[in-house]
Amino acid sequence: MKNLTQNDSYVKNILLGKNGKNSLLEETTSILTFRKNSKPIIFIGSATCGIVAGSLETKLTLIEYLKERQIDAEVVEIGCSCPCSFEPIVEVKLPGKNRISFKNITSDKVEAVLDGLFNNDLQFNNVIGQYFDELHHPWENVINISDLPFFSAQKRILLKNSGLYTPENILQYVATGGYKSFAKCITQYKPQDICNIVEESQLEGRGGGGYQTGRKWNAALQIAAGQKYLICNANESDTGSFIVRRLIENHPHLLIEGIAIASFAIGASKAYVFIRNDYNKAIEVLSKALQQAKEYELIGSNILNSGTNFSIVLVQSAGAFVCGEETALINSIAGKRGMPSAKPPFPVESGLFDFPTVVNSAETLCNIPSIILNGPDWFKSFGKLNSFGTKLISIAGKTKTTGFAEIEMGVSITEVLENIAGFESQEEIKALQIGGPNGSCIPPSLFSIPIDYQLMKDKEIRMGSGGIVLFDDTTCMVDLAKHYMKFIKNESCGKCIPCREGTRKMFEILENITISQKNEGGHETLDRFKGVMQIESLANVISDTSLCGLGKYSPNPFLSTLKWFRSEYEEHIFDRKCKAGVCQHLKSYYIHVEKCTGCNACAVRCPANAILGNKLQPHFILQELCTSCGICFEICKFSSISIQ
Amino acid sequence: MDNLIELILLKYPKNATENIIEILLQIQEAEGFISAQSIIMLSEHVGVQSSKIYSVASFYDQFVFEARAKFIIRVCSGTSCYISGSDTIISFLEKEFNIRIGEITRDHVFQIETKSCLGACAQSPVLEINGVFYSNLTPQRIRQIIHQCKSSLQ
Repeated sequence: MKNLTQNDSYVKNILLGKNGKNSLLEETTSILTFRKNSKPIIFIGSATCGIVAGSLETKLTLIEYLKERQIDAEVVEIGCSCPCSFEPIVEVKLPGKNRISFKNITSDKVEAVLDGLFNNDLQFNNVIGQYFDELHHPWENVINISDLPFFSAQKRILLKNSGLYTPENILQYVATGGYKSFAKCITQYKPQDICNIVEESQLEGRGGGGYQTGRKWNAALQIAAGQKYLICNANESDTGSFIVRRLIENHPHLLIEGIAIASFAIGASKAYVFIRNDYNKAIEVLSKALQQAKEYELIGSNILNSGTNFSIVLVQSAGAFVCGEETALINSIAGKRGMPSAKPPFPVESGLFDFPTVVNSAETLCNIPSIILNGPDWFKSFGKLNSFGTKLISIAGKTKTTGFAEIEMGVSITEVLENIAGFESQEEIKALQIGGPNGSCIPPSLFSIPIDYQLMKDKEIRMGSGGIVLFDDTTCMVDLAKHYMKFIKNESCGKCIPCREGTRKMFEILENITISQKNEGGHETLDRFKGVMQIESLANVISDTSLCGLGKYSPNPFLSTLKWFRSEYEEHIFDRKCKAGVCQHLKSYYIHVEKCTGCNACAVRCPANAILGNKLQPHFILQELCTSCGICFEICKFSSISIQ
Repeated sequence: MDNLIELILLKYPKNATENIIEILLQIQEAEGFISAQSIIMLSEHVGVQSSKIYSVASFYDQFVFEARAKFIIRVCSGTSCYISGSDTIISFLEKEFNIRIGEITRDHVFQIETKSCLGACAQSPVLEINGVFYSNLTPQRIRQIIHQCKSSLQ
């Protein structure tokens, strides 16, 4: 408890600006931010990406290594610095030396890398770079980490401390300038001032809607009500996006600060964080951070002696994509089925338990502290076109570097691909999907488009949450549309008939397109023909008549792939061929006469009896009987079967 | 079992409907699934008809109403994993255990499921077993993981 009292006065002194020229405070700050260390510190990336790549084993091996050699060093878990394909990342700070970062340190590499490091013989293959700091000695021949294209192409405001500190450690967060903005709000500003600052900054909702946050807040502030609520939407379920997860795992206190400011600004005494149940690590980190914020009385009653009270409740979503829609989310928190309801009334007028409610995405709220601290004009200095500030994006799929990045608004997709995803040329990329199942598929011809809400909308592209998935030649666009349709049909809440029945029908039609003529029976040929004729108008009906965003934008992947890759659909429909070789039923199998040894294994296993041939003589496949099941291809030991 | 559910219910005020989902999540954590008995007890506690509780529970993917296997292998079928070959992993697992997606092995040890997106796209394809993620999936590695699970039982 004594420790807490000491730390408590440290936090209060820093936040209430009593630090002045206090050398003790400065000393504590430099120890907390690792600028001063007397023994080696070893950092291990422990966000989900690190854990999946094996950082837990790395940590155990590391501790063992230190114990065996009796090296007195501190082991610290950090978040992730975001180039996820480099995980597990290990960083080392020797006393007096710059902090140096290593990539792909699986447990078997620990010994070699650390031996090299302690004996001044670096394993350069694994080095990412070093963090320059004028106080310490640099490593020779090691690049400055901020000079790497992955980092230099970013504008890191939210992520400025990503992967440097222990995410849930409140003292480190305060030492690096955290909660200052919140302290400024409750000691100097009135709620109206904060709403005005945010409105002036023209911050757009980052969850996908792009609605101005300040306007929403002002509307909520104007309404007189006994109770108001703030909800942070962290129910990230877009397939191919992991922005919210990484954001919370790395910056739980930034989110809490954003929520605290927002609650104060709209006059809400209770805030909810609605987070996906599957995000165990994010929930763990956020709960710890909340607990600490409570201990230091940054949430609770009479915060920093200002007379302000408010609390934050963590609500776990039970898994439904539609709960990302604000009215559905509100229903879910109230303990009902997570179905959207018609607007108006908007949640700002009548939301959770019929009280005024503001729903903001986690990324939007994380933008707030820096806007308050630096002012709206500073915020508007970022952004090259219509939208201001930065946007978090995640990159996955068929890419060189997978990762999580923060870019300035207005940067083009080409720049993102070149600098962050690591592509020298775009020839290898067939297309990319931005914004998950409700987003759009973009062909390379449109890659010059800047990341900007308005401009993308003009081109009928939905940026959504900003998750990018890249595709190459091995991806079939029809199959991809089918994959998204399957997701949407499973996730449709069932309230609106066009979405419930229409998406199911669209999936069936797409499935019919990808089966071969041989497998059709009964009315299937007719169904297929009718489907092909009607699918486009069906897609438009679903868009026009659904209530919520999920339904409205559900045909987007289909419509955008049809628009840009029509030839692929035609190939599937008319020629019954899949160029990418993904659609199982459209594959034709052939036996190479030279390679076939006549072992008879395929003929025995063929369920359609389509393979003929004498023993020890080359076999052949009867195409009329072949059902393209692929069993022969799997069992042939001489790779004599090819797919066309 | 009933005592366990009672203990969970005691933590929440009576007739407060907003806690239904949270309580259901806790019941599932304790019991492994949502039993008919627990729905009835919950409905009495919060003062809502049991049919309404069931309608809420059945809406969400998370809740199941039958006993589950000890190890639930969830293969991510998010876009990134899908294009990196999650289908191959699923068919490999189906063959390995001789069951289909959603089914449970006879000894009630393994169950295969797909999950829309686990949010670990950077290391795709991935699978998750009881909260632990695995990546770099090759047939040998999957067999090794399965073996680890089996040996942890003994």
